[in-house]
Amino acid sequence: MSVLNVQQLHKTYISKGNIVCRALNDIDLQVEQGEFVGIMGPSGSGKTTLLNLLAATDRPTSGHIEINGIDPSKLSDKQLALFRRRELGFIFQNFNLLDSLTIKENIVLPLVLEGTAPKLIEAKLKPLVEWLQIADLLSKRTYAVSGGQKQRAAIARALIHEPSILLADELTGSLDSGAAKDVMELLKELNERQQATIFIVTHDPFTASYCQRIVFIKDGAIFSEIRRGSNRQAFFQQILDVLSVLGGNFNDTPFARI
Amino acid sequence: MTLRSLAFSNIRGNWRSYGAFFMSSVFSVMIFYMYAAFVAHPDLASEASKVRVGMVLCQFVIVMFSFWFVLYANSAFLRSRRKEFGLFFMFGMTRMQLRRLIVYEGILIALAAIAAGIGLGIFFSKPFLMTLAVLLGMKDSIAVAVPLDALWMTAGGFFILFISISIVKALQLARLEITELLQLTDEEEERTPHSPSLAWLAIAALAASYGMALVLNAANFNRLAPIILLLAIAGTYLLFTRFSEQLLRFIIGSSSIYYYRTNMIVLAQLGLKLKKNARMLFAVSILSAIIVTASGTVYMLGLAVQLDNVQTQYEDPQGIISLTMFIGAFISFLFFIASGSMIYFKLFTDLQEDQSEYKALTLVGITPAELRTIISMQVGMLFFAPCLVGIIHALFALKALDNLLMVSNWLYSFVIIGIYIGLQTIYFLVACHSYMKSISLTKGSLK
Repeated sequence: MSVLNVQQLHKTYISKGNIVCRALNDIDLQVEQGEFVGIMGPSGSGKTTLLNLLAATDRPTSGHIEINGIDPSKLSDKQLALFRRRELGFIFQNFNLLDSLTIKENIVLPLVLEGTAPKLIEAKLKPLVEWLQIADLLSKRTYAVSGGQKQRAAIARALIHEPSILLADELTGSLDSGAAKDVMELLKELNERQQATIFIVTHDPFTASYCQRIVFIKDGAIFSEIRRGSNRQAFFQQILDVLSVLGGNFNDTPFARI
Repeated sequence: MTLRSLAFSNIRGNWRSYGAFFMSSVFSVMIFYMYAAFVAHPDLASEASKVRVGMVLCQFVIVMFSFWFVLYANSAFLRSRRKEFGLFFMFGMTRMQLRRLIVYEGILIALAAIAAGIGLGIFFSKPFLMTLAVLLGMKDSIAVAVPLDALWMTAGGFFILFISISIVKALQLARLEITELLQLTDEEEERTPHSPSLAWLAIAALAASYGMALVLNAANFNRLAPIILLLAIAGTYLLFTRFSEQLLRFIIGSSSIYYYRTNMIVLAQLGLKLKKNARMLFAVSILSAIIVTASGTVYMLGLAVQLDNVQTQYEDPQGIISLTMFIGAFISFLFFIASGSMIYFKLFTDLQEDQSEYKALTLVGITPAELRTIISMQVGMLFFAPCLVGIIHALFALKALDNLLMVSNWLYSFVIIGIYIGLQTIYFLVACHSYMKSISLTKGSLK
């Protein structure tokens, strides 16, 4: 069963003076239940536009998106909000945690908004924070913890309501290499043990090497697709090969990391 | 691009943030001019001396008020721009240049505010003087005049005031380090230690002052009145700085309330806002108490004068009563605008920080209706908590006054309280509306 189904997706931006920018051009994409998929592409290739459309923070020009059988572009603002907090889990480069809340309050936010009973919230929180090793930080405020810890908290918030798909946008972008590796190992474990469906957008080959399948896009269209064998190191090399063919600006990526 | 043109384009580009500061400056200038013109009016110069004493006393209050209000508005405004100044430093602006930039901007705003304020003041002089003529029982209305003395006094006084505040602020800001300027959240809020005993002291102080107010009479007035005032002020201060925190802790402790839908966000953000704005809320509640008490008092005094033998001492008691009432209403209105504006400033000073929180909430999946609930509850708390405390203070003060003067007119007091709540609600609705508009509840994209 495919959790995410994208067909003939187009997104065109028209700026002042009728300058047309085709951000996405005829994208077809399926993500199956339990898959760990990465989207890669140079700056300006349309990665973030695609994620914006999936997260329904932007509407497609034409084409069709379905997440768990629901087309977000057909929902009203209220239904959209409910859809986000029930079906989607987000992880961002800049964490997007609320500074006014503690780590615990940030994590349980989706459940609290749904009106879940406090006992049930506690029951769901406990195993999650133990697995992510942030159980000691629950009462701290966001500025008192490190970047890696913030991202773990964001992962906990994205998972606590058991979403049908986890969407991540450059989730290792603000982390040092050690923290990035830890976070990606956690996602891999989540995917392998619990068959969570994960969809990440990145331009970092190391981060991407944790995926099972990588879709490359260039100038708004799908360029190629590769699948991982058993060896992550070999996959990393494969990714670098595709990127060298793909060209474009990857200069902002630290390559010397494995 | 010169510094002067940078100052000019700063003002043009940031009109929204300059707007609130500019409007309140205009308002101060206008009020001051209208009053100064009234006092210096040729027709009134010959008015009996007792009226003049009242008028000059009132002018003193207005001078103090204008000074304080402009100072407050200016610091709130400059604080909201700290990050911008930090960036200027970062890109190599020298401290001297930043100081000059702030002073240039100050001069531009000052000139515009003085011109607009005096213009509006002249425009509104007519209805102002007409009302007065009616109240003072004058046969023919007072002709509108533009006394040059008042004009120069207002223009010169405010120019000096604006410029000196700008210079002082420029010196203060330019002394800070870049990191201090760029830091958006002050972590100072976390440092105040939590102390339950001070929280309960707030309640004790208020209870004691209320109790004393109830037993106040002519015999013990001189002894008790200062103590009551002191206790009430100290109690209110502790109420907002300490007790509010205690109360929130208590509510947060109950997980069935706290972890219920939007309550968590409202209470958590409110806790921080209370901590940050405790002093402002304290000042607003004292102002509220003054507004309601003053409005109630002038009327009761009026009644007392009518009944008392004071009547025999003055030839025109009705005129005095009317004038007192007019001045009371005028000052009340002034304080009302001031207290509302303080909350308004705070709201918009914190807008930038709040906006990122609302964006994160939208992405987690908060419905537009829930977001509106959160915002109106928070803004409502800022507007109505001090209003309520002020009204309670005023009720006790009026009761004490009632005991002293033996004239009671509770109906009138409740009408005043009603009007006050009504006006405050209008202010709240306007502030809430413009706040929601400026955080642009559009969906926004991920980046």
